[in-house]
Amino acid sequence: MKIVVCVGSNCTMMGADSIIASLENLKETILKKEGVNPVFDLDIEIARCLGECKIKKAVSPVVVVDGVIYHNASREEIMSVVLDAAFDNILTK
Amino acid sequence: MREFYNDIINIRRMVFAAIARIAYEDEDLKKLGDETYRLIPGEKAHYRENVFRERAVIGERLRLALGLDARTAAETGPISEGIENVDVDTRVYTPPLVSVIKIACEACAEKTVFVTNNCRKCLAHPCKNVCPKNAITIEKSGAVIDQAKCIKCGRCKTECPYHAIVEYGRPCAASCGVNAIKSDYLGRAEIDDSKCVACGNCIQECPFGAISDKSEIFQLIKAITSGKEVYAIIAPSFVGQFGALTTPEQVFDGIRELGIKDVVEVGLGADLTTLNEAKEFVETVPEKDPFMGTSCCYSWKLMVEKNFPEINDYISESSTPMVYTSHHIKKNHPDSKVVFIGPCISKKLEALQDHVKDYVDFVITFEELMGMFVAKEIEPAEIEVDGKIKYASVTGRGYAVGGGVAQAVKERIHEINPDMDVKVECIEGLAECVKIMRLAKLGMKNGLLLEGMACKNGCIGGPGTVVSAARARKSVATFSKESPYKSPADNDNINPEDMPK
Repeated sequence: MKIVVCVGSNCTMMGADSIIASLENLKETILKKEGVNPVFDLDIEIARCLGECKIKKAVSPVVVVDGVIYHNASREEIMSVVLDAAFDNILTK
Repeated sequence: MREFYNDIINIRRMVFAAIARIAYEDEDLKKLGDETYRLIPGEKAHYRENVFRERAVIGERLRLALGLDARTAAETGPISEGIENVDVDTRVYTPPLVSVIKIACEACAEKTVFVTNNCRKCLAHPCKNVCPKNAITIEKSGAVIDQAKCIKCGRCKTECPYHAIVEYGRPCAASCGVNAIKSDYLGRAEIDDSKCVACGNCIQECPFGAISDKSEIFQLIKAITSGKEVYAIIAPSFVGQFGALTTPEQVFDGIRELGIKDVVEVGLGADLTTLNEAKEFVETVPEKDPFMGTSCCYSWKLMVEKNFPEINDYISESSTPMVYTSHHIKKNHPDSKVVFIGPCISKKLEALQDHVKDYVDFVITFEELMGMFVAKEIEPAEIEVDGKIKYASVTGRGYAVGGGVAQAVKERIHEINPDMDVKVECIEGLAECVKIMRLAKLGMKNGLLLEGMACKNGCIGGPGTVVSAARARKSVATFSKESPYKSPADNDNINPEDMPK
């Protein structure tokens, strides 16, 4: 899973840093536990302004998860998307 | 920055960006009311019980960001009331710096021991048995504490096998290291200005976002747009604050794009503070003074001044990095204005002091600067820059992190006198600072170099920071190593006549 977190001015102001921090924390904690789909891999990328906020106002922070754009992303929303995918093998069994 | 308080932090920052935009676009301040609708659109409440209160609170925040005083519900008139007084291009605000937004305060109980519905009404009821005031009765609903009798000893809480009894107080008051938060007649928080040292802890800790300081971004931007020559001096903790991909050089260029003439690292002044404090320590401790406290954190300095006047003389007489750096600028550009940009709000108070006010014209925080970047749609990470900034030494840059000041001074003392063994103690957090000074007063810290920081983690943990202290720590360490000057004495930006003799 590839997550791109925008760290442009708007997104940094509206908490991009805390989203990165919580994703990094997931990687170190829950994603190391048993039960995680062995093929699951979390790739966190930080990007310069993706330009979303210039098209539409009040959308920051912007996060892109495997190509899907999340506006006004919150850390809890993104973390749950990650965990749903990471534990996918259990849920589908 | 309080890491998990996202909504409150975002509201605060949106307000800074809004005020910066209004200032840059030269909008009529009489229309400030419209801004509350722009910031809180629609009719659904997101943060509080209704959208009207949300707008009222954000209106008060906008006023504070303009430098006006906080108002109570009784005083709340039109949002633009008194606005002509702040529509200027010079510093206007007056103390108090930190105030409670009364209409946002939820009047949390001062301290309460409370039975939750975890109570199983058990036969043993150890809570009742241990209560030294016989304040607990077991009723149909479960244990009930007679609040009039309860002395908040917390014994019942410890004994309950179901963890049914909780003790809670006010987060604002609990976070205050100097007990400056009391209650008004409606039970809302009230700050005792004679005790407050403006560390900003309560601003960060209030879960309702009901405490705020005043800002002077509006007047700063007016000074810039009216054509004044404004120089910025930026605190060592700035590294990594403005986007994970933004380099320190890009921050400097971004600031210039705001209309500011030039930027200098406050690390330059930090080097002077190091040189002066090291000299002072070698000359005074222990012969003249039993110990020496560092002087760069203004909240710490103010706390000692207010609470420990008898040992106040043992705080270093050296000036703060902000003051030295502003002197450096004003010496070369006497007609310019200087804005200090930092993680700290108590610097806003320091800048009002008689010996400082002519040198530092404005003080803003990193959050407020971020608001200016957003208002001007500046993306520092996309600016192409040449070269490196080099205003400060390795240890000058290290001032940003708790322990950095003492480390710098210690290393410098070692350069002056390699045989002198300096013992240091670094204290982070205002409450801890108070404890240590109590011991110091009793003579238990003699011979030491005491570094006091009102914020946990030092400046990178300040109330005006944008990113978490853990991330800032890494960025500061990397940038510090990049400095070409190993010792503050090597810093050739310092005018030779300013070096301590």
